[in-house]
Amino acid sequence: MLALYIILRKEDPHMFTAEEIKAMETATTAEATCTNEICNAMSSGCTWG
Amino acid sequence: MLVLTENCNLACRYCYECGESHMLTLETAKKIIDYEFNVSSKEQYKVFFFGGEPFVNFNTLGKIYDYIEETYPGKVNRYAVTTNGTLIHGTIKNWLYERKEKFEVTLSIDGTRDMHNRNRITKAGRGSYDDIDLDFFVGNWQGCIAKMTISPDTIYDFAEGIISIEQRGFKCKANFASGVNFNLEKNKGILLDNFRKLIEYYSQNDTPLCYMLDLPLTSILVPLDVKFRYCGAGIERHCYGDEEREWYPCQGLMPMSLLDRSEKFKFEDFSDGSIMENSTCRTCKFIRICRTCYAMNYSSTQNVFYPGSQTCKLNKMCMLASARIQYNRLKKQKHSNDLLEKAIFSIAKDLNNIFE
Repeated sequence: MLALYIILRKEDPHMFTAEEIKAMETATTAEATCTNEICNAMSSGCTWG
Repeated sequence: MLVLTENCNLACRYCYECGESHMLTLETAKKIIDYEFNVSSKEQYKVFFFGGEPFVNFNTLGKIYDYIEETYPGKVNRYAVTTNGTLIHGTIKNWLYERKEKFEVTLSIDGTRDMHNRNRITKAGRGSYDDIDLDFFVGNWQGCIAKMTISPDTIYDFAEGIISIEQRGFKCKANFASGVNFNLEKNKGILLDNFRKLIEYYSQNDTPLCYMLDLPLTSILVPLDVKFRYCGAGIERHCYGDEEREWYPCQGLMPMSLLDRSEKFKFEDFSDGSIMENSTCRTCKFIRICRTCYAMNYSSTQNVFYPGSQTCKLNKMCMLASARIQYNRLKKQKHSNDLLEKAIFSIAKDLNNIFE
């Protein structure tokens, strides 16, 4: 019983629910591809300094 | 970038610098500047002053600034300095204040007073938080960047640290220290709690995301065969120590960080795009939003193209948290964004179990 209690009270470690993921899957069936020009913003920063 | 000295008045617990102490002289700095400005066709430059603590060598820093302004007027459009802030008082503070329009300042501060004093201590072992005039920085540079390093000693409350820095008026640039063990298996719950706090904060407050979570998620939709590089190391940035014609691509790949191992990075510009061919990350669709870099990778794995499993996992936790925040904001705004929704779905589907 104690083990069951610990399992039940353990916090859900997920950031999204299964329902949210399912809903997004349905909503995002359209083809969408990012272009290089839009998406390379990342390369301009400095992570180290 | 000019490394003015490896000397520092602090002894931060996670410091990666290990080179012999030197003080850049004005004569060497002049030769570096003359060489760099004359061999390149660039019309304008941004000059970074770096250390150690660059203001330990303030006398030379000031003379270098004067030399550039007098010899090459208009050639440098911006100066930048990264400092621990503890020496910015009196004469140095006045000097910087008078040139504040020309300077960008990055202040190293590691969260709340308590967190900062756990990481960033004087050589006598005392916390350095109270030695910094925070008002001077936020008062003179709007959105002044606060560089916050998360160490194993501050992993417990890093969310509070980021939020406190942002609420103090800084733009927080936090990252997990590289080359140290965060014991992820044991600390998963702590990480989950902290990321949840950040999700709550940034979902309730419509402020720009901190650097760690400000990820251009749609970049994961770029085909992997498009060339990729982490940053402009070696192309946009040349880093000089005390050798006038020897530059390194990044401060993290210089002798002060790597000693003799830095030799192979001299004049390296990573321009052949070989990361996609040689990296174990080459098939990872998340590479374009992975907050790592050549130097962080090398520090962790001795391979500039591979961050190691710990950094990989921490960065994926950041991606998932960022996706959750951007999802919450989309729902709140009630407008559609097909590209972003597709990226969020992809991240949620693949990374939702990362905290298990």
